[in-house]
Amino acid sequence: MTQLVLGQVLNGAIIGAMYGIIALGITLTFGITGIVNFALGEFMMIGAYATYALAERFGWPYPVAVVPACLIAAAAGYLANKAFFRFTRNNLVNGLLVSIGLISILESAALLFWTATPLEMHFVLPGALRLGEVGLPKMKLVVFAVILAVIVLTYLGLARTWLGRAAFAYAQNPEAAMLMGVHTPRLETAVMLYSTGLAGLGGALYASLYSLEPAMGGVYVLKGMEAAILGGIGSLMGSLWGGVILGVIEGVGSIFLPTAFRDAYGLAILVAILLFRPAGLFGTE
Amino acid sequence: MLQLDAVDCHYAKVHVLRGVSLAVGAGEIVSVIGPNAAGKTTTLRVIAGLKDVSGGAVRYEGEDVTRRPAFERVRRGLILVPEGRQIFPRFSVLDNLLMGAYQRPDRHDLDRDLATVYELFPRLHERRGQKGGSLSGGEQQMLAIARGLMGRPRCLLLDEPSLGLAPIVVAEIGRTIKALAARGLTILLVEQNAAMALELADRAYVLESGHVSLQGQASELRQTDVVKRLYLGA
Repeated sequence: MTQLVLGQVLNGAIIGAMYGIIALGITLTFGITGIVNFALGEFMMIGAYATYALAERFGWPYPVAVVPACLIAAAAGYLANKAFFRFTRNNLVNGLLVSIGLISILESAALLFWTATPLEMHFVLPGALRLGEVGLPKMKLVVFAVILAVIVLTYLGLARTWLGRAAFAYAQNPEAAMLMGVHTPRLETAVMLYSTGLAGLGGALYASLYSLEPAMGGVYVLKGMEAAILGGIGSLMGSLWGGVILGVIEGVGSIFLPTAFRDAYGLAILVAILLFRPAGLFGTE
Repeated sequence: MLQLDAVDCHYAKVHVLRGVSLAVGAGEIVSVIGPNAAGKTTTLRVIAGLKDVSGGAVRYEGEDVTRRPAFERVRRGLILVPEGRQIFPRFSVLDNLLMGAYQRPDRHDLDRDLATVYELFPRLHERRGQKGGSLSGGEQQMLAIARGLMGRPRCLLLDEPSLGLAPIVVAEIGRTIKALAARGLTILLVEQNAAMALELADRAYVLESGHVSLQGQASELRQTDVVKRLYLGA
């Protein structure tokens, strides 16, 4: 039983960290630029399939494949921003419409290229660490560590640098930021590149653990959104913990409750928490 | 130093500036006064690069900057302190001030600049840890001016610094503007408070429905009947 619960906690934490990385992208993009990008899951899907293609079809070592996969996702994000998203600033409805359109186009493209058959990569890092009775798969630990590192570095990067100060200033008042000499179009592009590249990284990590399907992005963006709300929109560390908490609840819950309802009890807990903390766990307003 | 040549400007179909020409020489204080909706704020937004012109040119330090984006003009020392302060409410006073120096190449060494603005506005030093949004209106205006100064302006554009402030605070802001001018800073001041603007300025322009209706030495303008009647309430 302990083995089962601990295993599910770890599993939940890993999946939750992936929710967290999407949540981070959503909260960064919305918080800084006022753009709603609900299609982030698709950039995760792009990153995942790019990793698969580079590693399995071209035979690149996995760590080498991850970097270009992130870049490909970011490049796709750049195009999406230039073509659509930059026109949706501070307009929730248009952001949603663009997102829904992108989701259907990108998902269909993936179906065309890769078919609906789930794809699986070879084990990147086999074996498990044994802690007493509990086995922790090494790759899952690596993935968790990478995501944790990325989110902490993002947080430090924004809290301690001039670029971060400019980003927060832009989030509070774009015009005033421009009057301080901030190159605002470049800042907006940078946020878009970073959030979609990050989603690509999430996808690349996902590909090393789970099987890929064209529709994977849709699930993750919903969970990412839940995680962002749970943690508190605008809170960077909150997005990570929101994701992990959600993932663990789903993982552990599915031991005791029917697995078919895992989405529901995640949501039930979200609603319960928002009843007491309407701004989310780490939110301030 | 700064020159507008026959600037035209539209908001949608509304013609807000009609061939506005004005000039500010180095070291001068120049005021633009006029009633509400005369185009005063638009004039400053055009100069700062926040609003595109539909005709005419903006020249700064001998160069045509009409098509240059706002953040580039800031880097050349053409700095706007906007209407309604527009400070960063969630930043501390100190962070607001630091943000003012964002575009400077030497932004990692700002102790002297901070000392200078704190000397000018001791109140800001007292409140340096407080959030910008928690300051009073007058303090926010001081912060907005101080933030502008942190960018090392060569030409400072002030948009309605007296707006919504108590008379005693207006007087304080006025003294500060004088002190800045005494240090040789070039200032273009847009004001509805004509008495204050004409007292501070060397020269002034009267803007009415988008065009310059009067201009001249501030001391002379104060004596004209039109200005007396319409703006000074005499």
